[in-house]
Amino acid sequence: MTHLMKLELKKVGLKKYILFSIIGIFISMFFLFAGLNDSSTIKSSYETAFSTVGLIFCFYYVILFSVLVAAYIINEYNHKTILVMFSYPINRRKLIIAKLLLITLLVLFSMIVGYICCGAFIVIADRCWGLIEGEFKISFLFCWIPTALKAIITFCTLGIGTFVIGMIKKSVPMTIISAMVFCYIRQFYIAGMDLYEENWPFVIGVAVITSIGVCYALTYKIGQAD
Amino acid sequence: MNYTIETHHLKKVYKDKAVVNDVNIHVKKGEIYGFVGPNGAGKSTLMKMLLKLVQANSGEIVIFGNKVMENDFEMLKRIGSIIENPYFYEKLTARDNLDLHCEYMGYHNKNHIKEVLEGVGLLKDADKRVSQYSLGMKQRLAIARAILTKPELLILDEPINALDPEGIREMRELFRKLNTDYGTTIFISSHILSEVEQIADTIGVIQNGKLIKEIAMSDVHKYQTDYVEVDVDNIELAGYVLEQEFGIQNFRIVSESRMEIYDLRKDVKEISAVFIQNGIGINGIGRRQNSLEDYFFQITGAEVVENP
Repeated sequence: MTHLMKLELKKVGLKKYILFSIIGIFISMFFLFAGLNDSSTIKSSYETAFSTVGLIFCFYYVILFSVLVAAYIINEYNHKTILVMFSYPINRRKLIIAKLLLITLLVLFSMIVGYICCGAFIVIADRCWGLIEGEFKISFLFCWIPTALKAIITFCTLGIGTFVIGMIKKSVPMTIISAMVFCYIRQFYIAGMDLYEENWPFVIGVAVITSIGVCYALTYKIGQAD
Repeated sequence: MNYTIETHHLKKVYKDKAVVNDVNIHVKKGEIYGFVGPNGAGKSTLMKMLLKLVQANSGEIVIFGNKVMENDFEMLKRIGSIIENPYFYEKLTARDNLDLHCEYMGYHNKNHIKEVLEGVGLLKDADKRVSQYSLGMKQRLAIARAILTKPELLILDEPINALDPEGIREMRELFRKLNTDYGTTIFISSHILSEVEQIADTIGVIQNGKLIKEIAMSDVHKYQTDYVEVDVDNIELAGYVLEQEFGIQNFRIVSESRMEIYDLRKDVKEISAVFIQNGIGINGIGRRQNSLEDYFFQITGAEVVENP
């Protein structure tokens, strides 16, 4: 599997991924700063500032995931290079899983780096410009880290959901649109439940539905190269 | 009989239409099998079925003596293929594409990459991105990729499409060399019947999804009769003269000015002399032989000769 993932990387390279990851982090910092610096509203707390990171990351990383799914997987079908891939003596399911796993790892890594950078940015921005109510305490990390991990799991799962839609429709626009729809569903749920972040029932629900979708796509939608 | 490929009652249905219907092909080990048929006859679909790119609705495929099973991909290690068009990772160079192919096929002799690139005349362009290649160059590269791992079986769907005459000749020689030097079995489809005729040991003719004939080229040659073709300015008079002067009735008028004479008791010289004596203007006259193309149109019943 590792070898297959390395070969995938060889095909598409990392340049665009790194570029988009860096842009993502800067965009997130910009929106964070803009939100915290908004004098028309009351000063944010560390809790709300951190939940803002989750909101921005949800949109950015689920869409980034879908873009990578489109580039690494759906385009292989659209450009018919999948005919070449499927003429290799390798289980086709394994080939697709290797691609999906690679995308998940890349987005996961990017999100971890993003959370570290944006968390640090909140603290530094508060120190420099006093944008946040209260003072940062190390104990906040005990809340932030589990929240970030839960968000990372959710965003990756939603990203994998875009893979399911992409495989069913074999369409790049549908893959990316599904990412946007999934983000809105998350936001509606959080707003509807009056939460700052997704709760475990939501995470588990999304994971179960996505797993069923992945099984369906891997069973019925891989071989349709035509 | 030792067959590399056998299919038994193979069938594929798309939207209630059988595109491959009860097909039984037999490709002997070490032979070149030409697979011919009009557009949409089912050639590519059948080739995809052999490579497990399309699943059959019924029937079975036996390759290298083993029945092809759904989750057995090992046999693909022994097959080189070109299906439809030459597809590549366009942003990679030709060399990188072949390198990737070696990795996926589990073939570790990467020195062979240089050899095959040289063989298809692309060595000097090996480090160019494939996106900069012309269609003909891509086709050559696809052939290089198909033969790179020295497969026992080559499945080539229209491999000479987009090649210039020189390229076609080179590839024909390359296939022959692979066949004679390494015993590679080649299953090749082409619209260019004259090419198939020059290279194939056996042909299979498919039409409307049905294999209508599978025949050795040596047997096709038996059908290939000689005849005299004449192009004259008065076709009715020419026919009359042939009957009256020579008693020849075995001829066919194929157009307003052209006829084919199958009775060869009189040679070209005598026929032209008698035509001139009777005031028939001759635009052209010569001895011909039926080609595979004639044979093909005879058995498929097609009327229009299409050459790319």
